[in-house]
Amino acid sequence: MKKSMEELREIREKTLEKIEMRTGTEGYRIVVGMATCGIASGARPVLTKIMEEIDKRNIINVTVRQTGCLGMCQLEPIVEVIDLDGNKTTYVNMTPEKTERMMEEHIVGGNVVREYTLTVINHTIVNPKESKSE
Amino acid sequence: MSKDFLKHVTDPFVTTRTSRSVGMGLALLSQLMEQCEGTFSVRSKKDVGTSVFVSFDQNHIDAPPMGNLSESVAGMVSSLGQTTDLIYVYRTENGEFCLDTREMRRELGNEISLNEPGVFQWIKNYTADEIVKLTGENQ
Repeated sequence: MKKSMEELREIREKTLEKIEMRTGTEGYRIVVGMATCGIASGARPVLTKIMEEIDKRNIINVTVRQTGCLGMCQLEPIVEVIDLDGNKTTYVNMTPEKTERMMEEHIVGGNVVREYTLTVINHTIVNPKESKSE
Repeated sequence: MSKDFLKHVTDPFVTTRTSRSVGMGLALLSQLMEQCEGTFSVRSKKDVGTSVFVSFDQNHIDAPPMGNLSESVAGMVSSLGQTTDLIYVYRTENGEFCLDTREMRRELGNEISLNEPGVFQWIKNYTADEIVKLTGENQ
């Protein structure tokens, strides 16, 4: 791990600068389902894309956590985005492409991507609709 | 684990979870091992600790696919938290490489969590590069 340790030290410096700029109040919390159901449906590339985008876009006030099964295995990969006030948006059937859009429009832009979210009314999943042709 | 719990630990309905009555981890792991005629053992002593050993026969027709290692290792390290470490050793006939999060923590210092996206990228790239060096293939 010899020369790559140098690279790690550079990352330490860069990250320390980033940490200085963090305001201390939380920004978005991103929670990715990484249980067997999630991983089997492709959650790893989604997590990778999220980490990539944060690094690439230099997003400062955001934390990423992995979680277990969210109980809606048929909708995995699932990504939950929680804002400063605790409001939760649940993105379902995520892919790396959809993730890129979510990062740009929601995390950076502040606008939920309604097309990708889960809507539950009276304990029934209203959106996405069950579709046999999928 | 107690001796009794250990006896049934690969049963998916045996779990310490309280939110659900099913735990799939060891059940699936031992099944994958059986599929390719590998080996598996769990050793545990109550209030001391647990070790899980598993091997897969990679040349077996039913061996499970390896998957994307660099992504998986990065993902694993990212979920470790402050008090758990991972020592990942990739060994072939051509040599081996090792990723040791204890060493990483020493370089990064206390202020920087292993969950930082910059660290994730470094792990993914480092692991991918080292695997190519050893096997000539991307994994």
